[in-house]
Parts: sequence; C-alpha cells; structure tokens
Amino acid sequence: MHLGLPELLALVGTAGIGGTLLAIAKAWAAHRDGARARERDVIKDSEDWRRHADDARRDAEARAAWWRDRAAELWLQCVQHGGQPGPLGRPPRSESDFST
Amino acid sequence: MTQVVAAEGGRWLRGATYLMVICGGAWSLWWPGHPLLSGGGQIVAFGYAAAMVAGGLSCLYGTLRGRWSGELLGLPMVTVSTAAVAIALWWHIPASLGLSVLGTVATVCTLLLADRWRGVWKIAHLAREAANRAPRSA
Repeated sequence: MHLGLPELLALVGTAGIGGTLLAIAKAWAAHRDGARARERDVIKDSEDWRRHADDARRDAEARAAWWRDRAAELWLQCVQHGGQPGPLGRPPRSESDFST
Repeated sequence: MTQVVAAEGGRWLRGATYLMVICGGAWSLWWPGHPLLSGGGQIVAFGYAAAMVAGGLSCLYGTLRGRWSGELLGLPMVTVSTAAVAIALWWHIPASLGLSVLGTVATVCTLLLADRWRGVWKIAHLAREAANRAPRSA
C-alpha cells in the first residue's frame, strides 16, 4: 500500500476522531460518577486524600510501635521474674530487603 | 502528584495559547496553507482548520473556567490539527528546505499539546477516582 500525504493525513484525522470520542467517554464517565468539574478542586481533593492517607499510615505505625514496645517490656519482665518465654524472634524483612 | 500540580499552572499562558490556536484555525479557514491543500485538498484543509477552531474554543472555555473537561475534549482536535500541519510541512521539506524550521516548530507544538492532554487525562482520572472513593449525595 502506498502511503502518501493524503493517506497520512486521513490516518491522523482518524486518530483525532478516536481521541475525541475517547475523551468524550472519559469525561462522561467521570461526571456520571460525580467527579469534580474544576481542576483546582480535583487537585485539592487529591492532595487532601494523600495527606489523610499519610496521617493514617503514621498513626498505624505509631500504634504498632506502641504494641511492640509493650510486648518487649512484658517479655523482659517475664524473664526477670524467672519465666522462660520463647525467643522474641527476628523482625520481618522490610520491602527494601526484598528488592535488593 | 507533582506532575499534576505542575500541569495545572499557567492558566493565562494556556489561555493565550488556545487563543492563538483559534486565530490560526480561523486564518486557515479563509486562507488554507499550501502544504495541507496539496496534501488532501480543500475539504481536508477545511476539516483540520474547523477542528482547530472548535478544539481551541473548547480548550479556551475549559482554561478560563478552570474546568478540565474543556481541555480534555478540545485537546485531541487541536493536537491532531497541529500534527497534520507538522506532517504536511515535513512532507514538503525535500522540495523546500526552508520549511524545516516551521516543521520543527509545528512538531514541538504538537508534542507540548499532547503532553498537556496527558496531564488533563490524568486529572480526569484523579477526579473520577476521588468521586468513587467518597461518593457524595447529589
């Protein structure tokens, strides 16, 4: 097939029509789901959600650290009072350990 | 996230860009460029010019009102029209080497517009994601 300038332009035009239809579908689906219309609101919502997720992660980490400390204290007290608890064991491998 | 915030800035600059796109399209409606005319004839040149005007208007509306859907719908038309001009210019470079500068500029414009479309696409995706995360009562 000979690909001349008219064919290339027709190809680009078809891609443009496809892209426009895709964009219409995307916008329609987003608005149907109740998406925010203003760009600034979208970015603000996304930032708020990220901040909220970060806070929740920090909170969960603090809670986990608190329980870990309690467990270690109890283990130590048990040993100091003549008990023979099992070993504390090794901490789980972190994500960075797996990646290396 | 940083990418999206960076893509959001420059409202007036983008408004001026889309205004120029509309002017270019309108100009092309009355006086279509030779590269496009020789490539596809009057109908193709008219079609691309009309797409440039329609897409530019949609983008300008979206930019001035701060609504992502305007650019999401308009940018494919504008990008493709600019791409068509770039292709037509590149096609004629062997006959006229002086067109290479114009072809390069048109290509750069196409790539920048495509990059902005990618940013707006991401914003639309984020908007839908946020809506699905916390459904609001209408």
